[in-house]
Amino acid sequence: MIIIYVMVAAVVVWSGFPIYTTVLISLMDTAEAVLTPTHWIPQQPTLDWYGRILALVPDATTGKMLAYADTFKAGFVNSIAVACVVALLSVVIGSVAGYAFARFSFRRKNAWLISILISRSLPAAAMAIPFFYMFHQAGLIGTYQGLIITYLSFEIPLATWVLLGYFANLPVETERAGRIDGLGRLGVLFRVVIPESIGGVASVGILLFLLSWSEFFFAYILVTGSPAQTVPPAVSQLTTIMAGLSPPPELAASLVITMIPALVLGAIFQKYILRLKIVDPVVARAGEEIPFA
Amino acid sequence: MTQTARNSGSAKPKRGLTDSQFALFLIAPLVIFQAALTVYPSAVALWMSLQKFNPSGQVMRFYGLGNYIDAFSDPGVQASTVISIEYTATIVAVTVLLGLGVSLLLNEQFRGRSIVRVLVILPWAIPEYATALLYGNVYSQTYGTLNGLLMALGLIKEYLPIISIGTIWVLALAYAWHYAPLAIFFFLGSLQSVPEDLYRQARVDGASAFRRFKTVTLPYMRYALLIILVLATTDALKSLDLVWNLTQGGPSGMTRVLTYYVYRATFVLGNLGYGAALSFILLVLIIAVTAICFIVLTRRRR
Amino acid sequence: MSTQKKESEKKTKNTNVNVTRRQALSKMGAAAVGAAAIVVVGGVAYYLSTSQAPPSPPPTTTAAATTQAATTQAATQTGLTAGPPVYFNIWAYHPEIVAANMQIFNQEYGENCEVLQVPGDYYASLLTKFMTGAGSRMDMMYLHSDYMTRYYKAGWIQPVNDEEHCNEIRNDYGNKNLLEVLMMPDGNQCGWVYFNGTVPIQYNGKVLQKAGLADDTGHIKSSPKTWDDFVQMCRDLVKSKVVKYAYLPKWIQCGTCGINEIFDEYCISEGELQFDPKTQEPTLENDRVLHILENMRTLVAENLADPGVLALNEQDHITTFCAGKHAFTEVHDYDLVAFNDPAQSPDAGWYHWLPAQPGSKGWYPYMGALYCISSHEYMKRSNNEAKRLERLHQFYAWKDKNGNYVAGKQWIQSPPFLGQPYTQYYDDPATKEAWLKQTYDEGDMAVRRNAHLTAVVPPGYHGMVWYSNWHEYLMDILPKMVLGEVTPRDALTSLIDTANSLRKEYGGPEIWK
Repeated sequence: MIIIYVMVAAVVVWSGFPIYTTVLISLMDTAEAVLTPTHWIPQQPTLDWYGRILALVPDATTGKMLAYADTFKAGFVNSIAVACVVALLSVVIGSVAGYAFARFSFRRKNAWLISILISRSLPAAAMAIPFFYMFHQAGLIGTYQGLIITYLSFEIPLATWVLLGYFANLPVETERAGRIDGLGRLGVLFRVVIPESIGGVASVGILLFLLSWSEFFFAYILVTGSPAQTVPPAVSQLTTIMAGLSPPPELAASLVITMIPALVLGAIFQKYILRLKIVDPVVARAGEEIPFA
Repeated sequence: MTQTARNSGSAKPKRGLTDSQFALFLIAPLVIFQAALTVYPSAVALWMSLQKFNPSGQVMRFYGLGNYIDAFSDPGVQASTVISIEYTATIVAVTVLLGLGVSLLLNEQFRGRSIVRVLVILPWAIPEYATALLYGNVYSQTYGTLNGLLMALGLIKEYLPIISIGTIWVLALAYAWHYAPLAIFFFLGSLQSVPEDLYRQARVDGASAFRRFKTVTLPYMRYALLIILVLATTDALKSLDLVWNLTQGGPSGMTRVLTYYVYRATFVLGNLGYGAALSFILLVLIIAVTAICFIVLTRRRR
Repeated sequence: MSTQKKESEKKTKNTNVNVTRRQALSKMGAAAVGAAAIVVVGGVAYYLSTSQAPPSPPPTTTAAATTQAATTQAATQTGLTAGPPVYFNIWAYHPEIVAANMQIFNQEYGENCEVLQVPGDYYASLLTKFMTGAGSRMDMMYLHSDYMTRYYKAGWIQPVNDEEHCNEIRNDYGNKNLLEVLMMPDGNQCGWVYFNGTVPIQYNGKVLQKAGLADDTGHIKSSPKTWDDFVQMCRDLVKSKVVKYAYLPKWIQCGTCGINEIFDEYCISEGELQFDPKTQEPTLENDRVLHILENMRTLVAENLADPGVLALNEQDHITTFCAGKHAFTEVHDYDLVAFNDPAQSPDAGWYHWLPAQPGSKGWYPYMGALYCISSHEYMKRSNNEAKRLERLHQFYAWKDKNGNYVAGKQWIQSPPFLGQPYTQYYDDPATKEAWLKQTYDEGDMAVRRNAHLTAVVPPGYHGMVWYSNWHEYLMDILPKMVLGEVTPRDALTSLIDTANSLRKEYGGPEIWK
């Protein structure tokens, strides 16, 4: 039994160590952070970095508010806005399309399924180039619309794919009953299926939100330095001196703040989100049922 | 999926639309987005891959398949492919092993289990680029906490340049840290579907723990294992954020995975045609891997 | 048994259906509320983000508003009529300074020009904007000299030879070497210096003092005259066991500012400019360069230099030197600020510049960026618009309406203390005061002024459109040599071969004919 607790401790350390590291550094001044051996508990703890990033405390050297504080706050708001819009639109389009794939057959259905699968597999590195060109022609670089459209390009297929699996696993009797009661096909979708699967649909929404929140590469290519800049490029730029010198604690404090929404959402919804992966159509097609944790 | 048989295209419509027309109507928005955002850019990229660009981003001349031929004989591409394979293989191995081990552990009863389960999932919620930046603090040769830990344990006398020594392997570990919770959760689900009777039976038969695992547990986990293999492989091949933010291709290209190589060819060296061609090659590679896994999975019926 | 089971199943299913339908309405209600909540949250956030002023630079919009009345008055004064805003495209480095300058310009001339932060990857964005031509708002921009070369070759950059005051400005430059970087092979000058700086060697006086190589104020006793002297000094430091590695070379993981830039530094200090300006052929094949490469290898082979630096990024490099575990490094001149900042460095106050660069010529290499304007012809500008743009160009690059040096002030007198091409800035008491307050002592200031006057243009900007590609390949070749995977001799051959093949692929001086 002790062995189990030892192993549990090891797992907790493994999972929490990088997070603890960053929180630790965010609470120290650089002069203390660079000392070796590491101070596991800060001897001169300070919340100043958080204060500076949140524009509550002026920068020690210049006496002015950190210019980065504006960037960071704007990035936060932008990230939330973009993620919400993308999640909502993707869920709407994806649930409708997913239902069609789950319950109907039609010409070239497999072709569409495969094209969705491909869209889901596209690496950002490959799609960045043509997107970049296209968006420049259309004047969409550095805009919300451009970023939202880019995210939709891979999140709609993802939403469709997951919801298709989800719907396919729902018993069809309730829908049949709905038809018997005189509901049209759309009615069945909106009045029976969606309400019944609201948990799954909401989980997909949260999943997509987190996906947009975490997305780095397209955000870097498209909106760095513009008013529409989201959090990932804003934080990532702290490793260069483009935004000025930013010591490790500043980066660490930014990371802690940006991790909080992801961690909170992840902790609350983890069961539901990870459950979605299980009803991935890949599994469904294999005909094997895996019960939930 | 026998559920769909009922709604074949030959059902008599009440109003104007047949079932299959209705379905097409439903997927119309998806199709429009696909056409605009996947098909069209791909066509643009294809066109670009057939041209030769100068560093000013202007087309110098039509180059046919030249970019593709160059790619296959480019030692940089070969080196990056090897690095990508090393990266992916490590990630998949660590993810599976860690996933198995931790899920087995979490399947046992102990105090605080639910809290531990939440904690264990957390790395997955952290974005990939943030993982890279977190690990920058862990691996740093100046103030890294991994160095601090090793020193506190008496294993090293002075701080090591971890990234220089470990290159792509320590990067893969960082990614696996972020990715393993997915495997843990999957495997846990499978584990909990194993009927308790089978374990009792095996114990009665005198089977050792290892044998019990092999004959009772493993068959139930086969699917989860395969799925994790697929997901981990494709996601690792696509991964760019981690390398980008932690080493930018690393000391002298030692951590330059294929995705980063594509980025560099296009955005740093300005060789747009070459970058586009490389993108297609990478795309084909990933689709091939996904397709192979997909086929293997759907063939294996219990 | 089975039929009974089926019957009861059906029954339960039917009741389930009934229950479900009743629950459907309430579930729908819940779903509607949830969706509405998401929409509200998303909408509010969207509204907030779109109605928010861009993070920087804010002053520009107010400038446009307040100078409306003044426009007509000023226009008649200078003979230029008002027009649509002229755009200055910048990268996100202290945009508030650029914006403050723009406000001054707009007020002085009654103008309505605007600062535009380029979104996305700077050069990738710029490139695609350029390709759109007129209407892309690409009026004035920052460029590095190699990009200036490419874009000028593509016909997008306007030479400044016809600008009013062009010769005056050239005369005012304190260091005429800087003008070289602005020249194209066809005799046209294509921009003005935004900032120039040097990459000198900086040292930690405390470490040197512990090893007996510096006095008690932390100033080095005897500055190494040649690179061999430098290497020997590193040996002495390591032998004294004060530090493990004497030298933290800036061979970092940065495409434009890593080991390739430092290689330039070594070359220039020995008078080696790498390429022949007329033929664009590499001139690297000589003993000087071979010895430079050998020294680089020696430093790592004998454990005098820290090889871990190859994996560091810019910020890491500065943090590492702040930790006080090395004696020497080279950085852009303005980074001395960080080292002498007590909040960042345990040894704050002990860091100084080497009085002179080691090497036979001992020159400092120049690095910096330029102000360029886009071609009037390509952007289809009228004469009036062209003159307005040139006026903006000269405001930032030179003097204001009243003949004072204004735009460069904030750059050189506040952190980041970027160097400027005019000696007047260095002699300005306000500059001295600001520098002394922050980080430099009198000795460092004198060194910096000297560096300003003697900096030499790094090699390769003489009309070589493929230079930055070659420069990027240095990042692959040089670290391998430094780590011993390739001999210095082979590395040199590789450098030369790469240059030649790039030249063959993209064209040499013949493309300028």
